Amino acid sequence: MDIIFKDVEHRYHTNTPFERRALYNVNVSIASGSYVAIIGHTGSGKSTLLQHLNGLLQPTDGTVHVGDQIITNAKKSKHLKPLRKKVGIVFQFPEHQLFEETVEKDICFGPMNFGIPEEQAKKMARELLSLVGLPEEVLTKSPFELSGGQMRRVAIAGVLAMEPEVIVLDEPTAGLDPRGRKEIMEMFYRLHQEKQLTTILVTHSMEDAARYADEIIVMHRGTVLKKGTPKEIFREPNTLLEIGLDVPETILFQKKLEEKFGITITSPCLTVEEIVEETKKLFAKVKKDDE
Amino acid sequence: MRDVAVSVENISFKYPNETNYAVKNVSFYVQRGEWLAIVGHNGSGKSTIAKLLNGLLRQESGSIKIFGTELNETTIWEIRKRVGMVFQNPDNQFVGTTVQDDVAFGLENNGIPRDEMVERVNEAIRLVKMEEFSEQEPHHLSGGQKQRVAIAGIIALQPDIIILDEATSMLDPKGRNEVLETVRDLKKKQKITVISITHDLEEVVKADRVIVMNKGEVLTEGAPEEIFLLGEQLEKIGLDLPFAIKLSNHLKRAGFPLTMDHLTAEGLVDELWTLYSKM
Repeated sequence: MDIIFKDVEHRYHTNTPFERRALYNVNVSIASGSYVAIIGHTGSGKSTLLQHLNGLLQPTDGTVHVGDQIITNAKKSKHLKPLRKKVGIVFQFPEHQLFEETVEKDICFGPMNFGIPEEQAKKMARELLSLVGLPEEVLTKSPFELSGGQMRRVAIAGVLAMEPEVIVLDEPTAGLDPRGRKEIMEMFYRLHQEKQLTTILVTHSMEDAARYADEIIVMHRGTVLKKGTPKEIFREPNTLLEIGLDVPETILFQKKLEEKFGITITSPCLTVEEIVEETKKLFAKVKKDDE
Repeated sequence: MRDVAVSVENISFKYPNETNYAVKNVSFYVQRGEWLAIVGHNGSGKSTIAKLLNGLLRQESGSIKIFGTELNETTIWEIRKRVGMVFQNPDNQFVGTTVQDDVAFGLENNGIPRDEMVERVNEAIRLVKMEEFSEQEPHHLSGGQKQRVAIAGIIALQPDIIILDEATSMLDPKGRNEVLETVRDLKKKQKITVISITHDLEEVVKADRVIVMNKGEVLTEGAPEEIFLLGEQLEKIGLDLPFAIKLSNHLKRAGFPLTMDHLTAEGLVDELWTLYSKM
């Protein structure tokens, strides 16, 4: 499902003294099956943008196309039920939305709500559990007996149970330790590939954006500042640094290396391996010159 | 005698229905005006320690003293006035209908006169750069903005000790730096003691002292530069290493004769330059 934002504007609390424009002039498209990262600092409109993807918010102006569904200001939200099934959102701290007595019931809740028979839902729950890397024993446990990381996996299984075509991840690793973060990010990447999902990741981690995304959308003050591949986006680190965003540590290191050695490395380095390669080339060149 | 803000002696704690101790025989102290970082993987007992320090949980054995006063049922209310705590998820700690009401809540509870309260609330909101939002509902703010408000609530209380339990995890790097600078500033000016539970390496690098927790026990403690020398040992227990150290390792493996693991990118680039010049 392709996603297209056309001239989207969103204002909170319209016609009240609290009216606030959170998005304006948003024109951006996300190709079906791609992995897109959205970066931008706090309050740049990222969260508002993603809530339009499944119609939790409707634009106050402009249109959002998600596959053949069109979301505008006018449409009543009840028409958006099919969309909610197709677009799964994993919110920040999704484990706070767990509520059932057992893990199994929690995962089955969504599908059964959309009319899937109980037996089928239970079968799905079993499969999903292994997909998110949890042992089958947890099915009968209360979600609240699990550790934070496990609870998050259960909540993610609950979103996947809806068999979404698009999955939206809002800072999915907030609060996890470095190892937990890596495990969850690798899991989403695997799901992205295996299930051919369209994945949209909202993140502060430039490393994750660089590593996993096909394209990066940079949000700034309620609108899209830039969109491109990680190499395109990080080729000009200063644009990002100027608006208070970070760039991957590899890029910062590359900058320092270039300054110290008085050289320019043509391709932006996004991994430690690339830095090592460029450093090798640099040293090899001297050797050659000596010969 | 040193000026000790917090002294923890041999505390142990187990959650109901759990077989393993969340915190086992942990002892440490924090000096007045010190910035102590506590790091460790999820489930290492860091957050449990924070809750024990504020009396939200009660240890099974051992003792906790705050400025020399034993923490127990009779002293807890006085101690809570001196220990401000900011949790990871701010949604769980909002009570006010507007940002300023929320920041004022703790002061109202402590019976601070209105004029002083208004002043302290405005100042705290200004320090975390949330003036624009002071009339708004906290629930409509983004995660990072909520964390700023939660921190303002604690700043307004002017506690002697601030405990940050991953309190900046949802801020972007710039916002995180701003908020931490604000707290650092307060620490310096008012000699506040800070205990920060965190995964943020930048923050760890800037702490006065670091305690590394593993499976409920103190694995090691020391100055940041000492801690990061542990290298792969930290990675084994699920923690991260500063980028420059990781890159130093990679370069060594690729055959660059570096003399040390560098904590900073500058140090590493400098040594590469030295090697290069000698070629």
